[in-house]
Amino acid sequence: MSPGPALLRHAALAQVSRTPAEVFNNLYLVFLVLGTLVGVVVISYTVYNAYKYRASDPDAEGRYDVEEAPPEEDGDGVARPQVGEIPTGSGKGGGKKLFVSFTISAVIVLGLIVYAYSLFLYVEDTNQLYEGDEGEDPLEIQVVAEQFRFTYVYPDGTTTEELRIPNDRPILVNVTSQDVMHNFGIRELRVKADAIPNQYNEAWFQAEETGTYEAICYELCGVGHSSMRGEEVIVMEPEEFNDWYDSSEAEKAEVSG
Amino acid sequence: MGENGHLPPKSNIKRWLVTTNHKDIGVLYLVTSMFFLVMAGILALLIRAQMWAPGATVLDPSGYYQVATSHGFLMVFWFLSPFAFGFANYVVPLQIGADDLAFPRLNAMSYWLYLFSGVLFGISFFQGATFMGGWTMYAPLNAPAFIPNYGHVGSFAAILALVMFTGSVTIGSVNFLTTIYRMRAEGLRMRDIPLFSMSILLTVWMMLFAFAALLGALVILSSDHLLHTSYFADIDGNPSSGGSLLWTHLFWFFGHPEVYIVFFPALGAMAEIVQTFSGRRLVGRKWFVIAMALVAIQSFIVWMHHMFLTTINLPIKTIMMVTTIGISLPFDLMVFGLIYTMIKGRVRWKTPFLFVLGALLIFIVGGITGVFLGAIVLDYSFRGTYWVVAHFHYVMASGAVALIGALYYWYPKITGKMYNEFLGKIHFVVAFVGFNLLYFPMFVVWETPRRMFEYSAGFTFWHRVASVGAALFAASFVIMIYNLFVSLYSDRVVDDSPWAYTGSTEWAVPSPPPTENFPGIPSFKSGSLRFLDAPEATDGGVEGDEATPDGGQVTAATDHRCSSGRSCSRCRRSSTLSARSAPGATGSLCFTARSSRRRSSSWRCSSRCSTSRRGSSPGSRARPRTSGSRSPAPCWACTRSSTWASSRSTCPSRRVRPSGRSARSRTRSSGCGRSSDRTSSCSARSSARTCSRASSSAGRTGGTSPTRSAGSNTTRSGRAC
Repeated sequence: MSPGPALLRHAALAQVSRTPAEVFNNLYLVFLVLGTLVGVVVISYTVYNAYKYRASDPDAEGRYDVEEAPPEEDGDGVARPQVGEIPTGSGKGGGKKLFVSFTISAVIVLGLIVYAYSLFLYVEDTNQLYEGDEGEDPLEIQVVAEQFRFTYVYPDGTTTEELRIPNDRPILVNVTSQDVMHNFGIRELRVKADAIPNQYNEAWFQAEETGTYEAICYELCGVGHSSMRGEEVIVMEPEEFNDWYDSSEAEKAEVSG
Repeated sequence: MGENGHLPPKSNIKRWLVTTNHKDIGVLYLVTSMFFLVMAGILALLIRAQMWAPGATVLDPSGYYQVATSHGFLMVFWFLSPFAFGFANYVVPLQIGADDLAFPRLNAMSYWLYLFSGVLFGISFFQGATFMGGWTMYAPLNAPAFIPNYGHVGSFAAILALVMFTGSVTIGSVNFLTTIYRMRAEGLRMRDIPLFSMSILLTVWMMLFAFAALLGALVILSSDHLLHTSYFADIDGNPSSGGSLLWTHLFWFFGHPEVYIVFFPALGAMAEIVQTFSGRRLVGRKWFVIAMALVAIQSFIVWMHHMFLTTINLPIKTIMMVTTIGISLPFDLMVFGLIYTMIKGRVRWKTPFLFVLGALLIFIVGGITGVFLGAIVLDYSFRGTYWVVAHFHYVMASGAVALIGALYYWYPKITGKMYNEFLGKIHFVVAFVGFNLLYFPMFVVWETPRRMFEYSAGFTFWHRVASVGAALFAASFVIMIYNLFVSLYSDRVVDDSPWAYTGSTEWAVPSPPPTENFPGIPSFKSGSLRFLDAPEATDGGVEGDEATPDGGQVTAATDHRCSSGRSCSRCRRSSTLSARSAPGATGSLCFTARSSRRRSSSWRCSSRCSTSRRGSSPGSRARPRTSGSRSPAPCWACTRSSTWASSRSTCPSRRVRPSGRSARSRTRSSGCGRSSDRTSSCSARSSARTCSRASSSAGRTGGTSPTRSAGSNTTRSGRAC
């Protein structure tokens, strides 16, 4: 086996195993590093210029600002504003620099966005979730939001007020609302979708670690909005989940109770 | 008649109730919007107090949402835009050489609608409860079925207040558009108007279209409230099928341009202030203007980036992502333009400059964090969190910070007094530190859900830092208000321009400017500002000026106009117009830009041109017959039409552009070189003008002495005509 296809296959695997949370965290890091870098450079450069070219002369006598130098004495070819002028051009320098820096910034921004867009297409594509191995199909759960709670409906019709899901398996949520607009989100799992009345909004996510998470409403939905959190999201081992899922309604109620 | 015309003096409260003068209304806007700033600021402090610890600690949930909602409404609608339009009212007519806005009474109406809409909004607090669904008013939470009973009246009052505010804005837009297009001084092309005026022009264009969408949304919402229709939800609480999305589309089609509507005037002010305090013309001015225009247009096709998490489909998301990123690029160009203007400048760290520099730095942070939001994958997670809150405060409040800079910048112009520079700098330091303490921690704990006073206990420290920052930021404004108030009564009197290297026309008139703004008809026809005027020159008025070149010119200028307009004393703008339309032989009172270093002598008539200029006064173009006669201008001269006509021309001569750009740009206007005899016939005038244009530019390139330019003028005229 030549290394080429192996690498490709490896890349493909990496692709498939990526969860939206991982995609977000990596991309966020890239943006954060580049953004900080650009910010520090631009801000320092701005302050440096403002400091370097500061006029050291004191205010003119009886005035609140410096004396204007007559243009003839300004040897550096810079056009100084004069009252009542029609402004045309700023004199020598600046124009070329302007376009160079504009181009650089455009390249950075466009590069970042093209990269981000490729990841976005990956996150947005829910069909790929069905292309995996048998039995790895995503678990489809309907999330119904209302003032001020979420209800979860499983494929078998089970309806709960806490979300129990297996780890390492994609979860496809179909979010809607019964009254006003809400937004269903689980912070650590990087899933979020607007819950809009009479509309169905799809999103997918995958939990790696078992544990308890919080489902939060991210859209102001009324007086009780602040309390629309703390909903339990319980990520379980697949076996444990299957046991729970296969148990009867009464038993489920008991577990929840 | 005096300086105030027929108006009561400024100390009289009646003056402020009846005024239609653009400067008075500008001041009214500024003062009123400062009141709303204080009101919205107190609400913000309440929010920060609530966030001191998780939970409903200070306010109950309903109170918190009312406070958060009203803070948004008041800051965006009743502070930011009107504050900027206070400056616009005051400065734009001065900058473009108009003596008032096109429709002064509409302008007053616009102000009073604004004030009453704000008062109505304030009252809504006391009608049970005001609107509590967030400033975005998402449907169907905004429908009566989902508003608690005690909040029905107050919520509808808030909606009505917004409708009224929309009316005010629309009237204002039309007024500014008419003014800027039709009332510019002669020779001032659209592209040449100062950057602040340019930003206002683009702002009002955006307002005209954006607020229409808001009005539409508000009207159908009112219908749900009043007539119990079910655009968003019926009275039993059944949401309509598309109402939610309809609202988000309508609201954001308004809402996104609104972001630029509140930011553009700040941007224009930043450009002017950076120019002045760097002592350098804006680098890439042309590109700056093009970038602004591009943003203004493009702002209408990015709105769905506020809706990435709704059910809009992939192709639309893609288009909106592209346009969103596209709109960030012109801003890059503008920011770089501002930065490069400082290079080789003579940068003075005065208070206005400090504020603008601070605003620029804040805006850079806001812009970079905005690119994060433009990447949809990141946006999915940032949606509804404090990242968004921090980002838009860095952007919109940077606009506010820049406008505070503008307040310091134009304060001497408006009041005639200089603020206390030391206190100004203290204000800046406290405000800048406070601002960053307030909003930067919000990036650190960005995972706090927005509009929710419950948050993870681990975030408490950073939220407390933010609350401390909020207190500092608020305190800084106490310093400012104290400074600006006390300085009103100081003896730090300023004349035309307290700043060096100012460029635009408002700095060529006294501070505060006289009611009629200009001592003559402002004209840029010669390539730089001159005040053409004075039929009274024949009465010896100019003679008087020459006798005392160091003072009294302003009074003299005012007197001129009064003496000619006696028959029109009841008309508000009578004197100017009658001066303009006064027929016959006129002298030209020439203003020499920066002719003297001394403030007291900046009105300077360097020479008197007593040549006959029959028919060349602007009013005459509209009414050649009147100008032909020697009778005093009648009262109907006070209608605006003559002024509009003055900026329009049917003569081909208007199309003549000065030939040498470089010659014009480097020139310092050098006295008055108008000696060509102008006749009243259009064609004759046009050729005469061509000659004088050619001659004056020739004069400038050739030499600077008035005599010499006049001399070459004659020769050139002889040859070219």
